[in-house]
Amino acid sequence: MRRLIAIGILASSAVLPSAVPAAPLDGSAPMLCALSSVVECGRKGDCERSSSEEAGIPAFIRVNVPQRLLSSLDGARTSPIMNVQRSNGQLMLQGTQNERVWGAVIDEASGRMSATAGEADGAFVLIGTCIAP
Amino acid sequence: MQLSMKALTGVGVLFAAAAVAPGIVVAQGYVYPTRGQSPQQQQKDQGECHVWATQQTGVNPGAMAPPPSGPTGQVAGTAARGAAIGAVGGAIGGNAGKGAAIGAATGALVGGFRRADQRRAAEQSQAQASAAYGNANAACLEGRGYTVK
Repeated sequence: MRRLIAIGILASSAVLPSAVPAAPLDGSAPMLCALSSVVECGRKGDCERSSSEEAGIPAFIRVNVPQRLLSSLDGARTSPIMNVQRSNGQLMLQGTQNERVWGAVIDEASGRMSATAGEADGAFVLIGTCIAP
Repeated sequence: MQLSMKALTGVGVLFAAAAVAPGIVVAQGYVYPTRGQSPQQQQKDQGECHVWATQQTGVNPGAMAPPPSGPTGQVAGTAARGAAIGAVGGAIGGNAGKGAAIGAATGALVGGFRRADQRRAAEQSQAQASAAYGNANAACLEGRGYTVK
């Protein structure tokens, strides 16, 4: 019985939140964002749902504000972060790359994220969630 | 009419040749030697016609990358798609996929995104290029005494 209680205590300590707080989502530590939805819009105002695979967007994107860099998991694709702002618990990031401008807003409490990437002929809308692993 | 073994072998050679062009559907089905050409001669003719068609159209199906699809974030796949889009964009004259092509070439993250219309333009251009190659190849083979269907 004593052994069972000990196992129970160990198991619950593994499941319950640890005393060490998770890294914040305020940009002070690297974050990992997972995309859950991708929408593409063209010049005619036509928008359609897409997938990260179809659109050539990595399903997971690392956001490293200290290094001012977005990157794919393998690091093969990157985009510099040019502007960082925080306001009312929202982390806002902006950048440009190859005649495209992008912007992302991350809720620092929940990790909810939405982003857009636009060019002259259309734009992407990305929805996802970020964590600070 | 009964197909000769020679003709059957010839058809087999065609499929073997078609297999070197992964991901590309060339507008060509069967090649039948109407002048009784040997399989060796047919293979030679097909090889020469491939070279001729490539020279005439600037399209080499064996060297073309498949249309954009599949997983992303991998250097090789991205580069291949970028190359395909870039080549097609240059061939047709539009700038659809310009950002994607540049993005793929440089490992750009946001610059490598591809919109549906850009993907469709790339696929359409690739289909047109394949059709042009197929027509040229068929013309060459027919000129050398083969029926191409």
